[in-house]
Amino acid sequence: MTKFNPELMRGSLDLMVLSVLAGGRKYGYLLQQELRDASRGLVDVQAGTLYPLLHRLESDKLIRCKWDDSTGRRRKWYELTEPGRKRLSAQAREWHEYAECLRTMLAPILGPAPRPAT
Amino acid sequence: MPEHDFELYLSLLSRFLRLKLAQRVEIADELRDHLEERLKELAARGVPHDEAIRAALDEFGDAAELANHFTRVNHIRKRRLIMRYTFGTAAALAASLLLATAFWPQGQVSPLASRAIAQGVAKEGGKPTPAAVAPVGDKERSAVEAKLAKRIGKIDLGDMPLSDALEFLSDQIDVDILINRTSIQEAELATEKTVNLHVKRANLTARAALDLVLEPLGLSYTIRDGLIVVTTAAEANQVQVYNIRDLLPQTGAGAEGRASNGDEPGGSRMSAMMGRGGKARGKGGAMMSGMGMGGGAMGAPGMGGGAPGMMAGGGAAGGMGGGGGMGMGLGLGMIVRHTDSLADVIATTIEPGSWDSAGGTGSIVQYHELLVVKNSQTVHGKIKSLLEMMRQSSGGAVTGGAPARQSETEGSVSEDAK
Repeated sequence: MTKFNPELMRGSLDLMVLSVLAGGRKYGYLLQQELRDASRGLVDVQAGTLYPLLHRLESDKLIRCKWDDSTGRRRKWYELTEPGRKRLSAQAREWHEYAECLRTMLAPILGPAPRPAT
Repeated sequence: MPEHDFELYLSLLSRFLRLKLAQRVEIADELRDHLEERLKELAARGVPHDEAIRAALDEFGDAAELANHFTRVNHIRKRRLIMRYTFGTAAALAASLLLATAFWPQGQVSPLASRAIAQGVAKEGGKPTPAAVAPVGDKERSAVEAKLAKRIGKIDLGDMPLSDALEFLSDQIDVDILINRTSIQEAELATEKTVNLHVKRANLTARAALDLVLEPLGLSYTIRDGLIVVTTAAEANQVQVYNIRDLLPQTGAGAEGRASNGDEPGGSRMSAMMGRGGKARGKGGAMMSGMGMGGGAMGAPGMGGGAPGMMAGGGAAGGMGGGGGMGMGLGLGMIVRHTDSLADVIATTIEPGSWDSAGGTGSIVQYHELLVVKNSQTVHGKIKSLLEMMRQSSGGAVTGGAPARQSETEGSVSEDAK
């Protein structure tokens, strides 16, 4: 399998980041790795995309950050805020329906073995 | 140096970021962390060093473009904040103006009790304690002073607008620093000048850094309502009271028997004292205060005898005359000499040009064991460290722990400095 095209992921990257953060606070590098792991290597967000995105989510108050050196190194940790959690669950439902819809639509083209949406 | 290329990239990025210094530093710190982690991972996988560095940097893409993304995100946030910030600032300034006019009419020392601020409230290293007689807002003041005593380490501010430099300091100590542009413009001082401050080795306190930033621009600051307001040196004058009781040789009537030269009889000691008083001031009024003082010492030593003389001293000579008054209250010539010299020590060693005796706007008056000083925060900061030094070096020479204990028990004037 090849990695997803960044254009394809554009509308859903926020959601992916929020969902990874739902599992607990992370710093940027760790978040990037977990995105990769959670998607079995299909989602590989470039650092140059990830950090501005994190700053935007923070500016929208969906996540908040805190500098902390609990790992032995001073790092910027991100975690989900309450509005972020709400946004995540609302959008998760929406995206699920969207993916379902797309799958049905594309099923005839792909033939008998459609690949499930991630 | 493996990080050399990273630093180059980050400084390039920083150059493109149209953000405040503190934000630029924060972004660089965050990305540096990522780059180093990535480098570690690639190295563990056996990727050659140079290649790993290039790969890590490539993942961030073009510095200018990345900087653009960050800048855009932050400017959106800023626009949202502007409304709230403007309201907050206006309210805080209005409140501090009200306070200032209520407590501290122009050109006049405020009533003593209303601004008795204990010396040593914010000693280096913290432990702020509330002043016993505290005017409104003094808890906030000591909180700000404690934060100013915080060490902020290395500083590297090159060609930076004043407002950015202040924002950086503000973030370091978590206190808002506002610029009083009106007063600064009226004084025809430029706020648009840039700051150049590079301190690589010393671990500066925030107070020292603030002084270093403001002094070359002819500016100073005041502390009001939990804020630091940057303004002109003259405008920034504030009254503070220092408890110098523990720097006085001895307190109370028990000091009576202590003569500077040992066994001089009372009479000659008295006249010697008077002579000193006259010399120091060279004024008729001062001699009068000397007489009053002599009476105090001869008749009923202590507060009762000293009081009238003190008033005479204060009325006749004003300013420094208060020093004479103070000695009288305690009824001992030796103390007069010591306390006089303390005010002199301060006025001659700390910013000599800033005192009214030298045509400046500051003043210093001694009242019993209190030193009432009106001057800039910069000068107040220096007075504090001077008194601190004097305490340390006179530790044994002064009468030991007794005065300190006394001021502890008598918390009615202000808290003890120790």
